[in-house]
Amino acid sequence: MMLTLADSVDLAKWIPAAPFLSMVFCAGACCFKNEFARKASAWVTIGMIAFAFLLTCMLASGFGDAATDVNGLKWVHGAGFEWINIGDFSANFTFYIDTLTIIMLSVVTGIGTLIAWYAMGYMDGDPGYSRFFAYISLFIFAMTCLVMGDNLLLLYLGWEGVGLASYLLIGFYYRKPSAIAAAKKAFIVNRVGDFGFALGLMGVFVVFGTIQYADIIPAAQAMLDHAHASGLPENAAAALHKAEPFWNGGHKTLLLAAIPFLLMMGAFGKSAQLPLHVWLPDAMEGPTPVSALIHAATMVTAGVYMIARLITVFQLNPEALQVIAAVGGITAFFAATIAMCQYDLKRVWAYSTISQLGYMFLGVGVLATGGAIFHLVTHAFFKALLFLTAGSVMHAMSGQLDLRKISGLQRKMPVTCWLMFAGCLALAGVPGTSGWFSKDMILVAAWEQNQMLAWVGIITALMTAFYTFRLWFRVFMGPERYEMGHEHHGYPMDEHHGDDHGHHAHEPHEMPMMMNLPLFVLAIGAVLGGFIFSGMGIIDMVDASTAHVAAAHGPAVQHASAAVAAAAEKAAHEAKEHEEYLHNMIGFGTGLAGVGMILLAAFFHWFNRGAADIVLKFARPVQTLLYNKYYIDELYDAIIRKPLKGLAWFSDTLDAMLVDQTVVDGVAGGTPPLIGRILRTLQRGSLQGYALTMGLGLVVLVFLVAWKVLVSG
Amino acid sequence: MGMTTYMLASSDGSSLLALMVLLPIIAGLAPVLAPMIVSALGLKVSVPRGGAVRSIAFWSSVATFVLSLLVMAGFNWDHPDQLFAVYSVPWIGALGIHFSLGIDSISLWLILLTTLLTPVTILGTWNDAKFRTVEFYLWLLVLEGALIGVFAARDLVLFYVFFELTLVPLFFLIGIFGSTRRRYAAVKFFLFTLVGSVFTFAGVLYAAWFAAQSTGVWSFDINHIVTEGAKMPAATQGWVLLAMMCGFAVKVPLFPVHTWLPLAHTEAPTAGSAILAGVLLKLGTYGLLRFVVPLVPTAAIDYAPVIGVLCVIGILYTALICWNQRDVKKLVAYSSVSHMGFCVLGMFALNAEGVGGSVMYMINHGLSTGALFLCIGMIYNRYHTRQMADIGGLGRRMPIWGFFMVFFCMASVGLPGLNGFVGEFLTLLGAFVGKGVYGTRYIALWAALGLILGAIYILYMVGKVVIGPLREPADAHDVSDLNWREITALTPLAVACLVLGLYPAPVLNSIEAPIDNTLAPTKLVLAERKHAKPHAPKVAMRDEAGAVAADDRIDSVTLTEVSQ
Repeated sequence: MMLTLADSVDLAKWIPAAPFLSMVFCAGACCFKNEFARKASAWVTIGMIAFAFLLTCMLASGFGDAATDVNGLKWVHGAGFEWINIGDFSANFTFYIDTLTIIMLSVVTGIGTLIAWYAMGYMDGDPGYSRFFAYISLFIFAMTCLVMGDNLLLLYLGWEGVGLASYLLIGFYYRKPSAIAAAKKAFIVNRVGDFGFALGLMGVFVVFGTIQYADIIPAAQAMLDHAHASGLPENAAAALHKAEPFWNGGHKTLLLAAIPFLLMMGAFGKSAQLPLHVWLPDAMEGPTPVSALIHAATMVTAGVYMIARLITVFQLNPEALQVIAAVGGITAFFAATIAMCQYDLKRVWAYSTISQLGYMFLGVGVLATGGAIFHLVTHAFFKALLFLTAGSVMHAMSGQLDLRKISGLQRKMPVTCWLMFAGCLALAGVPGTSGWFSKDMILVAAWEQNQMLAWVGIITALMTAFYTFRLWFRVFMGPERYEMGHEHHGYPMDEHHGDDHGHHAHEPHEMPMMMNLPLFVLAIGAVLGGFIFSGMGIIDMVDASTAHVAAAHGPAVQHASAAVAAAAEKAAHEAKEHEEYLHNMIGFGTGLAGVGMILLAAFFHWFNRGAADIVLKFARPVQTLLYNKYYIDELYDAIIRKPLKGLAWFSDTLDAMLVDQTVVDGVAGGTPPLIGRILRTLQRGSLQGYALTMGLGLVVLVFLVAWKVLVSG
Repeated sequence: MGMTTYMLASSDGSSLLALMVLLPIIAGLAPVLAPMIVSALGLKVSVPRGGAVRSIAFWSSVATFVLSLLVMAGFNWDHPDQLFAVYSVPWIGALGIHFSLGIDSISLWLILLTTLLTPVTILGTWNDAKFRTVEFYLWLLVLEGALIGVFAARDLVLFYVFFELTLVPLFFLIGIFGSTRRRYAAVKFFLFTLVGSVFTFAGVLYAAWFAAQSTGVWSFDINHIVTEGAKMPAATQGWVLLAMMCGFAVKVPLFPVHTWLPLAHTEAPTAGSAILAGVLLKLGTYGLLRFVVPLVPTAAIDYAPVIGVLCVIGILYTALICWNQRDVKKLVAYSSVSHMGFCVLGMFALNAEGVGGSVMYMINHGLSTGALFLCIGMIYNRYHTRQMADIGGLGRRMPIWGFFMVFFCMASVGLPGLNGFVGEFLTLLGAFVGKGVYGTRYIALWAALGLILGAIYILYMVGKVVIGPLREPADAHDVSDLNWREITALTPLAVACLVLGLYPAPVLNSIEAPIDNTLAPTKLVLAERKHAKPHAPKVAMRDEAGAVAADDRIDSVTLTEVSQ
């Protein structure tokens, strides 16, 4: 039976609905502490996410032929229900499905299924088993709303919803003060970003009169074209500002120019870019599958998705794009330097995630949306793999994560060792692996716009290769030496009573095959993803969603005469050759240099660890600075949290004075003794007294009015 | 039941409203009057006491809720701005005062909030009234009747009587059943609100007098006063606005006259707090909506920036205060001040988004904050403390309670998908769009900082009380999770929070028409001002870019209205 597109679009509403149902189911299962309820909640969650993945595949297979072309955008509208409609404002639970949506949905539900599968084994024996899967379902529900919504408010719902899921999952081990602090930090830092995002959303409504993508994107495109046609391609918003009265008053142009900056605040918060990156490393307090799913593969990429989706709006202010590219590049470099000096396994990957997200922002900033989304997809595979294998190590070592206390695990955990190796290859950008393909696309695009940023990206790539293999050589190679940790399911072992399932590990052990199975799928994606996804035409798919980006690359070509067009074609051909040359240079150059860095890492962290210690001794101050993450947490605490807390204390003290007799009572009640006496009589009398006062007042007033009416009438 | 359906069918449910006002009051008075009647008749019948009184109170409030559902079922949803179930009999005929009730959709939703919250509160605080039970439920039910009366009143004097009548029960609930400083809190609450509302009444009376002057018809009908009074000259309107704000701002409460509220809340018994925060505060914003906005449109526009700034100060200042609290209940009390700031901010944006958001906010804040007070009451009953230093990590001891607490906190902090978000977002959007009224978008921008501070203080509380290492007072033994009664009390509120968060459409669609009517005078004033100012003709953006210039739409809307 062949499903038509219409059928699969009809079914699309089940993509968010399925995880919503499994969330409700798991919440119910939390009430039952028996083994059946626990198992059922895991299976239902996996089943529902897999079902959503299946629906996504159906959507993808039907999409290519049947999507209609509306205003130059190929998309279909998924029906839902009414949400918030009042005045001119309208936001419904309806869906905008195009190729970009499908890519994101595939990642969310596909990787989601694999990770949920792994988590089924990983979380086994945890007292909060059903609760964990309820949160995971909530996350998938919110994330699918985020990528499927046809308007910014539904995106915002998903945006905050994944934030809640992230909060709950980071604080999953809720008796640990550090976990709660991390969860709180994540939510609040994200709220700072969301503050900007909410204002940006309102700005979009004011400027465009709507928050539906289907209306915003063509309108922005029209403005862009108008600006280009007026020969003012440099800064569309400024151009429009100059081109009054076409633009109807100055303030709205300023707002238009501000919108990308406001929206990008939200993206920086969610995707942990400077200066809002501080929450992500701490988020590693959550269970490892969560780190893999939420804090590496999916949620943190929401910012990239949002910018790619609204790239036309961002194009209206090229300065904003430059800022995004710069922030991305700097964050990539900055986080990579920190990753080089961390000893905590998961924190290395956390900083690496920040760094890789930086690449994606660099990509969208230089309008390489295809490359950025491509990197998003490949990163989802290899980083999920890296986190899950790190989770396996942590699981096997009873919570031990310190690189200095783990060494040579290769023989104890051979499968995990080589699975992680596959992920490391991709992260390091070894030529041929998925990470190499996608990173190269971003770097080439960056090179064409801003060589400085491209160099930052290249140097970061080399550092990435080094710290990735520093970790791998330390954990799996060298002499077999290790110290077991003291944690079991997130809590110190001695805190455990009763809710144990009895497999206390005294020796590291390989994971059961059931748990390693999804990792093989991820490993295939990590190593061969470059070929697989390019083969599937991922770049064309992204370009189909953000087609206007291509137009912006060459505005001059659009309005050219025949003679000029021929010259332009020649130039385009030359440009293509040049680009191929760049790909070869940057791609293979960076790739091979990366391999060199791997060898360097092998020297320092496998063959001659003493040498590493000697180098460190000389670079002690730098190492301290990096180990302490540039003291940014301390800085924020000193310049933001403490003053704000002081202000809170001041307000509270002031208000206590106002509330407790001193000021208001002094002025309003205390000063005239007469009033004081009345007060006393009032206090003495009970109901009668008050009723009397009220009645008297009423009578007096009524009398006054009646009298006035009578006199004047 | 048969009788009520008959009434519904026969008379558009007009007597239903009167019944809804009277039923709780009679049910509350019955246990007080019954002994007198019994003794007067010399009968030897045992009169209800204690538990029986509680059952009477509960079931009568449930019956009132059912009545309100009947009204809802019969409501004219096609014309939600037309008064429904109008019931009018002359009261003081000589002065033209009528006992006149009638509801539009806004009144209906607020009445539903009241009638839902009352039984839920009685159920959730089942064992709280350990002494003077009869009085406790008397005052609670009289309060319910009076609140319904305020929302249903169509006569100014009747409105005022009900408005003031709400003070008496709450005064006794706080003064008798409160904590250590209950007397001080009760008197302060009473005086603050009474003094304020006297001015309010004077202001509205002046408008009534003005209306009588200009039309020659003396009437206390609210519609008449509002329609005719709106023609007052601008300077007079300013004074009337000031007078009216005295009462309504205290009730809301707006910074800086909020100081009675934290005290009243911390001292009040749980039931009192839940109803006080849940419904009573909304009388202030309801008054603003019914009187200030339509009656003094010019002054409302002129003073909107001032009020907006006060709202912003209130939002941020009290949110910061929340972060410094050690008493959970006081924290939630202060958060109400912060939240109600959003509500007023949206109201004075004077556009459909803002006012619609404001009405949503009234309903949503009632549900989530009422529920939070109930949750805190449940903790207080178990531990006899509300200090965060003494209790913590209770989610481990009481997971079901923890679930509800976090759920309502998230509703309160405006998480999209739950009810709080709809109101919060729309009020902010209204303020942002309403540049024509507020004069600047910075008011909305500063108010939006409340989103961050809100998250800070709510998560601070959740992190202390619900999650974290378990902390209990030393004398706490065998503390158990919520029982079925408590779960039954909280569940309807949670369901309402979720439904209104995901599907607020029925409410929003039904309140749009009455809001448009309410805003018609202000829109007219804004349009006149725009035309008074000569300026170059503008080209609408739609022509160029296929989009509408959103905050210029006031022109287009009102232009057509004016030309009609």
